[in-house]
Amino acid sequence: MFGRKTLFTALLLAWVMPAWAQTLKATLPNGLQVIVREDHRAPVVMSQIWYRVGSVDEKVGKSGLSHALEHMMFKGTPNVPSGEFSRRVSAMGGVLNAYTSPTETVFHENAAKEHLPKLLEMEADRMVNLNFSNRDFNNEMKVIREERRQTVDDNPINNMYEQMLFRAYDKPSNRTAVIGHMRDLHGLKAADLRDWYKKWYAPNNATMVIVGDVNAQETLDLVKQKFAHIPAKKLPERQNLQEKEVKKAVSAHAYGNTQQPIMLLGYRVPHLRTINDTTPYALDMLATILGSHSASRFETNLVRGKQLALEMDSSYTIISRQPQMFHISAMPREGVSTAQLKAEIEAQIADIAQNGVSEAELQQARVIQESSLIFSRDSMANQAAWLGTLESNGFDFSQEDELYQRVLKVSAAEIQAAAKLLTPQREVYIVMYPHAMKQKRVAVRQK
Amino acid sequence: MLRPTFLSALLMLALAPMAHALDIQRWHTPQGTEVLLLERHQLPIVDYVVLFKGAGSAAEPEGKSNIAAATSELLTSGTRLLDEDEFNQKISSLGANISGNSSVDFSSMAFRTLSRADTLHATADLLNQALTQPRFDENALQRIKNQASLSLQQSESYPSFIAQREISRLNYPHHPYGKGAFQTVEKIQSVQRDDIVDFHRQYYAQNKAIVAIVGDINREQANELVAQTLKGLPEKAASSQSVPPVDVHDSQRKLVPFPHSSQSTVVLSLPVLTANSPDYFALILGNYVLGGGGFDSRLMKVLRDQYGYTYGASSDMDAYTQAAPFTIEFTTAHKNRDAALKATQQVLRDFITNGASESELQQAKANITGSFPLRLDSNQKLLNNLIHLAYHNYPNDWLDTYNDKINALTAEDVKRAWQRHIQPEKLNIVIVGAEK
Repeated sequence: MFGRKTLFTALLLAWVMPAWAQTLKATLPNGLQVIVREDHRAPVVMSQIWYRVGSVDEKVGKSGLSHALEHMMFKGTPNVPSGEFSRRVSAMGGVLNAYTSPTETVFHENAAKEHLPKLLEMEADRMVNLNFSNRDFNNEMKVIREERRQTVDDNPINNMYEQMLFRAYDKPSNRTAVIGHMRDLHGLKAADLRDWYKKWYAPNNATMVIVGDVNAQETLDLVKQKFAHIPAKKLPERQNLQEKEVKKAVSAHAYGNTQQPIMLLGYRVPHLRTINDTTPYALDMLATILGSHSASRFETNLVRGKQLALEMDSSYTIISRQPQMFHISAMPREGVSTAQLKAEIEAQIADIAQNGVSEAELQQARVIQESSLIFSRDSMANQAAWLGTLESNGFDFSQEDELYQRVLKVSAAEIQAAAKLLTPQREVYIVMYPHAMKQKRVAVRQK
Repeated sequence: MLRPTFLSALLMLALAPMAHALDIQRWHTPQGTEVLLLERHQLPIVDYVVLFKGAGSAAEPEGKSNIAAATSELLTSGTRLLDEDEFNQKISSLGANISGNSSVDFSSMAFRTLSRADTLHATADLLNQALTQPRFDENALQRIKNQASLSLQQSESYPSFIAQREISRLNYPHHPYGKGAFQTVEKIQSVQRDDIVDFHRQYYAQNKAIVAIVGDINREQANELVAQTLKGLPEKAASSQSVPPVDVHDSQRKLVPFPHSSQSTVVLSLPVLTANSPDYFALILGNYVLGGGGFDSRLMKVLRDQYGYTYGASSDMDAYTQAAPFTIEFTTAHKNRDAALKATQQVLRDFITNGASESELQQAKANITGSFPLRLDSNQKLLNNLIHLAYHNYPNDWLDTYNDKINALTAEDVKRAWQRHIQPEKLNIVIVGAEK
């Protein structure tokens, strides 16, 4: 049985890395990491630059700095004035954007391949020459406050995640919302951002990832040519993100723009620190088995079987710089209470913790993992994002296969052990109720 | 061969005949199904969609909602041979995805699977069972109705959903395109098993089907795959309705209170463009300048960059068989609502009166033509292109000539087309988030 499985896995790996997937890596003398993967399916290129700075690097009272600076990176240098970066990329027919996470700020462009030299030149230029005006800063902070209203204050799901983060951890850096708290968004100064830029935007704090119809070696040389002149910086000391051992369950509720109560159940669990860890791989498989496909336990038993929920999902991020949670999100069916649904979710987890999973169920999860990996290769953006994640978190792109191998090798016993980690003391439980329910509760109290 | 970008294409014109953008293979089965195939052998994946024209929500009888969606969802909820759990177990064990979907005009079933023969054929067999021997289980139907009802209610938590629904009601009060906007829990719950059985029998037929396939498969295999998946489906559809033209209702305005939101959502809209309109390209190109071109667009430059009113303002020029909505949307803090709306109307008026400047037009052309290769860089995008071509009955060279048609337009062409189709003061307006 085991022999057959290994053979099957070996066969699949041959598919996972097709002939075109030549990947090269270099680290420039100034510390810039560069990864280039060839993908010759279309004459286009995806370029992403990852700066290792995000909300976990911010201090109390200055939340939202990294994200605000991401916005300002489009506001000009002496060579490429405000608004010109985006105008020039658009004129190439390119698509561009950026995002900030708790741990990274990423700028990405997707365009026909012949534009790569120009794109890299502009990216290198704004790594050192950013020079935004106070006027642009003031206007952009208004935009960011609107962004916060739209994506957090008025959005029940994102609002719930913000609540969860805030309650899950003790360290302020781990609790901070990426976009920043509204009072901080009123208080940030242009000088704060300029200082943040000087501190963190440096080649030795960045990873350049390029995937596309390019020659890998020539592209490494091209990146060297465009970025080599930028000097390295002494980076500030990182804040310690390590949390104390988890001691007790946390729960909270809030009221938001939702018609039906919705819930988010997180468990503070380990994530992958070195390739030799074991538990994270098992947690990844556990998330697949519990909730990530149409025959998963949640779908089969709770959404279809007992019909307790409209929607359910489980997810787990295996690699990050920040402590992670195993997330379960759910919306109970009308007439089903969140407490009842939570108890049923816990019963599903307890069942695996007590009785484990069957070999057939495990085999199914492996096939799903393997196919999803192959499916994900259809998108150059996904490929680049995965390479960027590995490289900016202290792993090496060449460990990609080994990482998948280890996920596929997880045993039923390891999954059972992982399920035992999802205990009440690790729990963070958030419920978002409709505003109308708050009014009802108040009305009852007044009687 | 993929088409080189604009500049190199110009250089090559003198040297070689125009290369085709896509090597599309296209044929009809004896039963009348149109098949489009793009072979892509670099990844061991097959993407497959079968679409049934006319099987969309526009065909639902009055007084009942969500039949088209419930039908396509029930098709993957068990067959005569396999109950719902067994069906899902099989699909998951293949590592494949299979899903039903529906729109106003059509319904579709799609799968993505590995191209290994055993996996591919097992997936195709499940699709065939789903299409031809659905179980239509009462229990599953009731669950799907409950989910649709709750999902409708939950959507009402979002101001942008309310705004889009209201504008759709104003745009299409009596037209099939508006049906979805008049959904209610009662109409969803009133659907019975017989409605689903009838809908499936009437509209899921081979002569109304379009199949699009992209991936690691050749023509002969594709032909067999189509035969395997559609075998046993009726050859001819029992009914054949076409969507009537849109009777445009304009100049309406509606405020919807939405307490607890920190922003107002503002939508301006009117039915405008059909997929086969001679003004298609002029309207698409102009829309880039007005509000479709992200940071390049006038709406973004004025509402975001100049005033800081919003995180994003955009305009969208859709094209359906009949007139699709042209829509402008933004959200802003309540206090800026009136000023932002006024600024938006001014931008629109200026644009329609004076048209695009030469430099704006050049920028729009450069982006649209330059981004052409990005439309073709994944199997998923290629599949969407095939569906688009077939659904609107465009010829194979529609993509080949796309950039030429964009490049041929002058500022005057664009202005004339916009003036012909849109009078700014006639747009319907919905504001959600106002207190009163």
